[in-house]
Amino acid sequence: MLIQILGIIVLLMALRTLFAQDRSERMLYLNAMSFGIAGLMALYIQTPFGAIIAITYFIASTISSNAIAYSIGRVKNEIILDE
Amino acid sequence: MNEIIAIIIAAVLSWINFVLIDTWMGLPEQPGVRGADVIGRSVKRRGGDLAGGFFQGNIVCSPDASAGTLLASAACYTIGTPEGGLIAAVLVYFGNRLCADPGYAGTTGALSITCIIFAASYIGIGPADFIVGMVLAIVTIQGLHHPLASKLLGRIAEKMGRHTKLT
Amino acid sequence: MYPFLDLITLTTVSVGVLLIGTAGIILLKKPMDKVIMFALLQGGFIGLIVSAKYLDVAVAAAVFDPISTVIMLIAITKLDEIRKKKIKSQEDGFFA
Repeated sequence: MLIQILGIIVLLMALRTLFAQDRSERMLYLNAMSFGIAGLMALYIQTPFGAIIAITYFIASTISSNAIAYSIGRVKNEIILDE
Repeated sequence: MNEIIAIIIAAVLSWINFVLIDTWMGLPEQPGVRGADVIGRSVKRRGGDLAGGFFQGNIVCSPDASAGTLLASAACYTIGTPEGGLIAAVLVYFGNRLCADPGYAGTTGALSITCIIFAASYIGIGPADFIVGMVLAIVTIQGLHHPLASKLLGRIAEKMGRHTKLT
Repeated sequence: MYPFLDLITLTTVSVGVLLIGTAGIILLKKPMDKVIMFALLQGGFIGLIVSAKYLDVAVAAAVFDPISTVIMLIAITKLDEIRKKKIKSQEDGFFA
C-alpha cells in the first residue's frame, strides 16, 4: 500500500518533468521525484543498508541538482548548431 | 489505526516540522547558493513570491530540514527509533558540508523529527507512515503549483519575520 | 483497477522513469534539457539496480553519477561561451 502510493507519485512527477515549459520548473519536479525514489528504496530494502543507500542517493542527487541549477544561471539561452 | 488517517497525520506533522524549522533558520531570506537564486527568480517571474521562491530553491540545491526529515524517518524505519535518527543526523551533517553549506538546518530537522516519531509511536503511527507523509508534504510544496505554494511560504515567512529584503 | 495497483512495484516504477527519461532525451532539442532528463534517467537506473538487490553496485553508481553530470555541464558551458564569443567577434568585425 505504501509502495503503491509512492510509485504513483514518482511516475506523476516524472511525467510533469517531461511536459513542463520552464527549466527551473523542471528542476523542482525533478527534486520531488528524487524524494520519492529515496523513500521507495528505503521501504523496499528493509535492512540498515537500505537507509544508507537512500541517504547516499539523495545527497548525490542534491549535488547534481545544484550543479544543473548553477549552469542554468550561467547559460541563459544557448546557441545550438542545426546540423 | 487506519492506514490513510495515519499517513495524513504523519504528512501534516512532517510539513509543520520542516517548514517551521527551515523558516526559522532563515531559508527564505537569501539564497544559499547561486542555483537557488536562479530558481527563486524564475518562480517570481511566473507570478509567485520571491521569499517562497528562495525557499523552494534552497530545498532543491542543498540538504535542509526536508532532507533531514525524510532521511531520519527512513533510518528510524530500518535501524530502530532513536538510533536511526542520530545516524541520519550525522550523515546529513556530512552531506551539508559536502554541498558547501555552512548551516545546521538538516541536523536540526533530523533530530526534531526523531523526537516526533518517538512520541507518535505511542499512538500507533510507525516510521514508514512518516516516509510517505514526508514525500506527500514535499509534493504539496514543489509538485502542484509553484506560484501558489510560494505565496503561502512567503506569508509564513512574513509572520515569522524572515521575509527577504532582496528584490 | 485493483489488479493494476498490484503491478506498481519498485521495478516497474524504475523502468517507467527510465523510459520517460529516454523519451525526453530523444525528443527535446536543447542540450540543457537533455541533461535534466539524463538526471531523471539516472534516478530510474539506480532504482532498478536496487530492486535487483545489488546494493554495493547501487552505492557506487550513486556516487559516480554527479561526476558525469558535472562533466557534461562543463562541456555545455564551455561550448556556449565559445559560440557566443565567436558571434560577438563577427558582429564587431562588421563594424570594423
